[in-house]
Amino acid sequence: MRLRSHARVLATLAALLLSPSAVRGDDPAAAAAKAAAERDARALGWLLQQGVRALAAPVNDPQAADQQQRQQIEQHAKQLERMFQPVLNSELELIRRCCGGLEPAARRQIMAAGREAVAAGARGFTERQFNGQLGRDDFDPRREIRGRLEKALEPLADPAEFAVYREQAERREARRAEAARLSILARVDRQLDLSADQRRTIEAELTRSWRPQWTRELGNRGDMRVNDYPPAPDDAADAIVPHLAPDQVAAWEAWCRAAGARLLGQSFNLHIDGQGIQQSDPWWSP
Amino acid sequence: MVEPMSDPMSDPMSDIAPVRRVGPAVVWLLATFVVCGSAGAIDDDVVVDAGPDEAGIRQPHLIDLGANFDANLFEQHGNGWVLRGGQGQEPPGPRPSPALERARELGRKRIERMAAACTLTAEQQRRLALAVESDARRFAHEVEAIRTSYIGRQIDMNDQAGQKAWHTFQSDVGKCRDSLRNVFHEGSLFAAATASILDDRQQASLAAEDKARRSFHWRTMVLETMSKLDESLGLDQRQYDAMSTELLAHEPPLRNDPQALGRIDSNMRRQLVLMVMAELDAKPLRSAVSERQWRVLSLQMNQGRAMRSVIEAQGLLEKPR
Repeated sequence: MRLRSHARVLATLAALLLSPSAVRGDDPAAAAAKAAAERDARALGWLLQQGVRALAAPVNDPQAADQQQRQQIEQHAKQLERMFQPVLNSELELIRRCCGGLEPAARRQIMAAGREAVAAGARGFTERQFNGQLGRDDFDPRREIRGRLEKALEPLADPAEFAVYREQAERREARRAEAARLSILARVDRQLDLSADQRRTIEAELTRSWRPQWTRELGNRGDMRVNDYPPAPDDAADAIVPHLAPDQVAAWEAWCRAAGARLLGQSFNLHIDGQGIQQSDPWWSP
Repeated sequence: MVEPMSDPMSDPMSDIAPVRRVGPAVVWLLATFVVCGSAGAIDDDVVVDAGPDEAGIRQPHLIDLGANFDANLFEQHGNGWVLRGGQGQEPPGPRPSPALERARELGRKRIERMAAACTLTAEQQRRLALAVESDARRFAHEVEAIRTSYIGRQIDMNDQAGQKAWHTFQSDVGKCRDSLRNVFHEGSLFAAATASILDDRQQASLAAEDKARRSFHWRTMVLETMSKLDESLGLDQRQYDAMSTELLAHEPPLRNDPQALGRIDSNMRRQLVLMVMAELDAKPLRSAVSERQWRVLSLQMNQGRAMRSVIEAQGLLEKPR
């Protein structure tokens, strides 16, 4: 290490130059200069030490960096599992209501699958978070957890009960879709003062041309302010604009230019719908 | 196309890489500089007084109340507070009162909305515009009296007197926010003029439009909140119906002017719905859900109940007559 020896030479030189013997005289100015010199010598020594440490560090070790990131993802995902636990508990609640005839052994299997699902959801979320990919694909930890539970449930549940569960899950999606449509419409109404007729027509149009990704409106993105506007739901423009009056169209266009939601991309609300069922249900661990 | 942010953790050496490129000559030069510098720097604790502009940037605890007045009254949505550090700069020369401009704008929108709902004649529009102008001037007069007392007034949030002044400022802005919410409401000339200028058919159309808008926004709030409860409680359709039907049947007296509606964020909408739910008969709700679900739901309802004073203070509900 050539630079390490440079550092040693420098430290020696600094010690020589700034040693107490370098300052002569007993007057206060000389004493102050001496104190300043000692302080600087210490600072220089510290600086050199830091420099040498940095120089001694590995030059470029992608494997080490990769391993470090993997460890960080593991640790972070483990912490997130606690946050995703209520998603599992609420889904188990619905399954219990629909499939009350599940045998104890089957319940244990579903519970085990649920734990794995939570771990997978947390891991998938964390990986995307670390790689800057969160919200860039359609990954949703809730869907991940529910999908895995459903897969585990199907072979274990009575077919009639499983059908009830499937129906309830579909109805829940339909309810979310209706809430999202109203949420979009309410934001447009707050901004453009729609008439009752316009609201009715646009709601029907949003239903007719429904897109599943609009459910993201149910997060809290509507609370954002972009250029002093809430985000304009311009990805639903085809269902909205044809039913606006000319002055509303002008206001809509200005709104979209200033705060179009298309510019915001997808977002995922880490805060999973408030407090969920925190405690595990003992029915699932007979 | 927005590029993903690079993660500094993915390259732990990235921030120290330049050190490696420093040659020995530079290290020597650095050492010489530090050594020589120390000899002359006996007293290195001298504070250099920054110019007035730099002081504002470096001392964010210095708050210009004049600049913060407009920001908090006219730009802040909801009941939150913005606190802008540094010195505000009033543009030179006379400028129109922001309070008057804002009130006129709100009044103009009110008339447009009424015209869309019940077709006003030109004469009716002219008379309503006069009422708007009168109310706007009254409002501006009230606000400007308070606003003027804060122009050019700077406080230091690091000292007790400054913090006290900030609390007084919040109270004053709160009063002005209240006036702004009610500038064309009950007791205003505009409200009185509306009652006397519009004929019965127009009044009925306007009332129907208002009722439809209020119901629409309540339905939206209920469904948005129910979608959260759906997720957090694992409801089935029967449970969902039991709760949402009760909520829709108990519509609160929402203020549905754009000012009030624009001020209410998703959390406040949820709290409003939970507040209404908390004030319903608990028995049917309790029997519709499981013990585990009730534990979570009752907790949320209690939070909603506790929010009533906040919700009322924000002027989201019509005052009882």
